[in-house]
Amino acid sequence: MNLPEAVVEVSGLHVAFGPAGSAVEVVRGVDFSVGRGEAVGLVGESGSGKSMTALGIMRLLPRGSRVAAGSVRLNGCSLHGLSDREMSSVRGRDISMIFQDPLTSLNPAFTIGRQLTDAIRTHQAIGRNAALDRAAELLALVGIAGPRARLAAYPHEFSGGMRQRVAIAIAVACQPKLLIADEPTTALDVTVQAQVVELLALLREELGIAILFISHNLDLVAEICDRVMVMYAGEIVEANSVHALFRNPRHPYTQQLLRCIPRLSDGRGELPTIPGAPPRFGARPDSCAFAPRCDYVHERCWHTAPPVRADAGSRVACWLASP
Amino acid sequence: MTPDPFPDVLSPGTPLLQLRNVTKIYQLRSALWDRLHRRRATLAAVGGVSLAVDAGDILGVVGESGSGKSTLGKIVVRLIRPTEGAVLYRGVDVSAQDGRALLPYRQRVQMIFQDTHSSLNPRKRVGRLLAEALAANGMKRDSRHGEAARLLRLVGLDQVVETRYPHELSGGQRQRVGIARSLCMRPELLVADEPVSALDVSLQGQIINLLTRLRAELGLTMIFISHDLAVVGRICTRIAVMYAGRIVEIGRPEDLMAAPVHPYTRALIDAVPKGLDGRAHRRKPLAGAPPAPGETVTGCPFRSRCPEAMAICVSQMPDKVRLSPDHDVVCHLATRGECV
Repeated sequence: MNLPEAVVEVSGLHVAFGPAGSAVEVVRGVDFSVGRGEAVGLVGESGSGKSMTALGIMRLLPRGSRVAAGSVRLNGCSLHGLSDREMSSVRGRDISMIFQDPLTSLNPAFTIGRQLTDAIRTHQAIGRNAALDRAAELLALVGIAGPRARLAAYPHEFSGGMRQRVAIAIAVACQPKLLIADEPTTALDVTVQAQVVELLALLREELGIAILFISHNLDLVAEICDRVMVMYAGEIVEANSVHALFRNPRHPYTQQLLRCIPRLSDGRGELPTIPGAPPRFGARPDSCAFAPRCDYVHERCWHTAPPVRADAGSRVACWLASP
Repeated sequence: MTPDPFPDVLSPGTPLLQLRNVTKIYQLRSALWDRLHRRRATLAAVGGVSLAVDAGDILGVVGESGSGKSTLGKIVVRLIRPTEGAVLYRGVDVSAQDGRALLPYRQRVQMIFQDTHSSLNPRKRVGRLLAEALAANGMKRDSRHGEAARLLRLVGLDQVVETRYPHELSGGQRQRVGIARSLCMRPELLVADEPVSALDVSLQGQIINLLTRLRAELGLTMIFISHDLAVVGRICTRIAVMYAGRIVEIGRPEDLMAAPVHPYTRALIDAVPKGLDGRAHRRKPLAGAPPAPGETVTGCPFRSRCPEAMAICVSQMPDKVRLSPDHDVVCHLATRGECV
């Protein structure tokens, strides 16, 4: 597989809570890259570390947590040594992020015109009026009707789906290379979800923005992403192209995840589930984290962490996948 | 204790729950000028809903936010009193009852909520939460503990959970506690308002399987409110699709999924993510949003978003058409069948 030139390369990322001696790791050695204009999905249950991975890249980790090891490279340059100030200018200009709840990511006290022009003028030396023109263009781009007039509106005057569109407009205001979308549609209705997904696909086509799409719904990820990474207990257990992952899931967790998505075509009856729950962080033994819930668990899974089998574009961490 | 007015044996042909032309109108805040001229903006959160739920049924109610599905659920459990219409339970009208008179109804009809963070008191341990509900049902102090343990087992939780606070539990465990608490009253009808929407896919299945198992074991009847057609289609015996406060289509899941008649039902089905299939056959998503509160719409409320809107849709609200004994639709596109 010929991978496009990487915009962001994450290698050996560890995110931990607590002091060095008794730290609890929530992201445990994550490696991946997102190519120019590529859409990559990051899938897993709550608590699997998907959001912490994203926040680790953005250096927006919550108080008490930190990047314990690993590096993030943007266009080949490490973000590691950047000061907070330098990192601020990376956020929004090179990498931006949208969140699950657009109401909390927008400031309720300012008009969206103000919030958009702030985002634009932080990174670009242009005048107020030019910024307002650009803001109106952005609102039109994300499909908001009558953009000029809407600049004067406050976030509460928009519906949930429209607010997410505004958040997306702010995120793409400076044409970042990568947009991280953390469960951007989970709080929305299915119909609005379809609209937002359509919008993200359009932005990717028109502006060439790469997307890291975080979700717990594999079916949704498959609709817009080229590649998918499946995360469990802070590790990427499988990564592959969407087609290969759906046709031939190799990790038992991926297989289970695919099995338990409710689909319209299914008949009536019991829904397939994954028995048990993900491990609590800190209590995880040094073995395969999925072993307690795995259908194919084997003696060695309890004693030794599974080897990672990686080749061009795909990787899987499971004993079963080894030759 | 208020005497229980509900007959234990349903006469033949009487559904367990029947809604007749149920309407809930809210007065919106309006400008002084409009108020002086007695022009107050109103919102019909639920407009003229009639439906019947037979004992043992699972009725699914689907629709977007603002479609009135939660308001309908709250009317059924009588947290809200309908502005018009009748709520008949076992043939007895409870729509106008109040206060103590409602207690027997409250015992028979219980609700499960989406957000367990707000529906479970964070300052009380699970054991106490259940004991209080059991006490409300008149259970003696010494039998409460055993009953709470039995209910926790029934919903698949370990007894240690009794000593935990809600925040110490996972989302799935909290929802199980919510279900156990609703069962304290030994209800006949459960109204579940988006019980799995806040959960991961793998947990959704566990909770839904639990609800279907409880329905079989305890002989429950259920109203399952959700925006996810894929989940609803899996477990419900009938599905009602709501738009702007009205039921636009109702039928058995197999009919609705295989041959949806209302364009809105079709749009909801299309909007469910379909994985690789969805990637191969991209459909244009339904544009726009439901009518804003207070916005008056002539004709069919869906017409502004409907890909198949015709001239008649602007001028005239469509009638309810019965396509088969189990399948009603409110749309001008439905021509076969008879008006009801």
